[in-house]
Amino acid sequence: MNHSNKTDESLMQAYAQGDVASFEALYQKHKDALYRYVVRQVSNMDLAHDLYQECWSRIIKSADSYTQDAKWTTWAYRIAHNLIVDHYRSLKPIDSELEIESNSYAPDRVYDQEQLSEQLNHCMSKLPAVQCEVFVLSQETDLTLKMIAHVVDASHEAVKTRLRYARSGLQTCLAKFGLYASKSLSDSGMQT
Amino acid sequence: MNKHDSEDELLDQLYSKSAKEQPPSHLDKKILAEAKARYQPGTLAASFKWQRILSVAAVMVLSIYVFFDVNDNRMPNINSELYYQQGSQHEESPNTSGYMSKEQHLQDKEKSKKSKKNQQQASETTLEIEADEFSEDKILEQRALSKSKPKGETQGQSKTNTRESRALSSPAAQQQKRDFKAGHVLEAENIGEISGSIEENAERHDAGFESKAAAPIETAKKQKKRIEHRMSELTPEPNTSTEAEKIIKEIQQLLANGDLEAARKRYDKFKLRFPEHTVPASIEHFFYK
Repeated sequence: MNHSNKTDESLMQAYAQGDVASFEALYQKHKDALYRYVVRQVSNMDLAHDLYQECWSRIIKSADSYTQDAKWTTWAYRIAHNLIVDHYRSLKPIDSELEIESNSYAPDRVYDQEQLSEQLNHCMSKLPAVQCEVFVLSQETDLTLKMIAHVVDASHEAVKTRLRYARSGLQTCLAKFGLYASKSLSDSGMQT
Repeated sequence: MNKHDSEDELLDQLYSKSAKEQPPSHLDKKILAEAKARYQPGTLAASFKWQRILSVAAVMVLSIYVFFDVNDNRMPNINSELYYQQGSQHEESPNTSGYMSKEQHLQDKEKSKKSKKNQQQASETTLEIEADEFSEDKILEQRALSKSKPKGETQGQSKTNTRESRALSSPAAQQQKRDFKAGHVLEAENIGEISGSIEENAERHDAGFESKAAAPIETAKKQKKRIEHRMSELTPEPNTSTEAEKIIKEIQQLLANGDLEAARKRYDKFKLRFPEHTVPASIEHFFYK
């Protein structure tokens, strides 16, 4: 049975009626994004895996109570958000650690893709959790700011502000590593 | 496109290029298995239900089988116990290996009935013997009384006779007479003579000491007792041998009937009563195996 034409909501409803294949389709569609959403906010991988599994368990258990009033992604990420908030609530300052990391700055260094990813992940881990969360949601999902606001249980303006701060923080961090110059991006093949 | 937008695009590109993390396969399997288990409960739950029902049924069948099996194994033992209880007087050993046949059971019943009948007969014979002995006692008493009466007795004499007869009918006198009953007619005659002398004494007492009427009667009684006791000591007891023989016969009869317990009791009593009497070798050999 082809599930590619179906929306997330209809797949979830089909699963609620016992169609396990619909759930498999839904899982394959969203598993990577949701996984990254969790992993990017939790530094401990074991904890991230536990939270990721628990998130899907809650989705499975709540399938009967799921209604199409909300978008499936909003509903699912809200569950993940609540889990992460329960486990990881602290806000981390970014500036002090960035200064320490800036010692590894090398302007003439040419970075490959793997190194770029490592640097990006490093900079993201230095972001405050709320900013990182909003940034990841904006990158991983097609949710609007309003929907993200619903997921993270914040106002639309607050989400907008968090996203802006997150972007500027990442740009600053990456610039300190010399990654934000167009030259280094093009050299590393990141230029489209 | 201004500088800010281009920087945002570059960041998005950088993120999309770097975002390659995927959940491990074991997590995928776990989650999908959980999803399947939740919405394919029919088979699992049904299988669990059937397992429960089957296990309960199996337990019940086993328990019923064990119950009946234990009862079946116990029945022969119970029968044998009953057999022992009922036929404890039998010499044959009961069949404990299995069920007794109906014929065997009936035969055992008949045997037990026969033994009971024999027991009853034996007890009846002993009662008859005792009754005969008792009647003999009475006859002897009457004889003694009739002989002790002299001819041409006065009113006073008759009074003393009645007193004496009362005294003789007392339990002590009866006991003495019991000893006497085993004696011969000669003894009775002697006693009659003695009683005559007692009567004479009594006459004297009546004549001389009418005011003291009770004292001479008592002394006369005492005298009579002493004399009777002496007589019993002196005279042999020929009746004991007949009694002993009777008892021995009874014991032999009981042994022949297979009533061992009764025979044993009778033998013990016999030994207590006649310790010096010789017992036939067959009986002695039987009890001293």
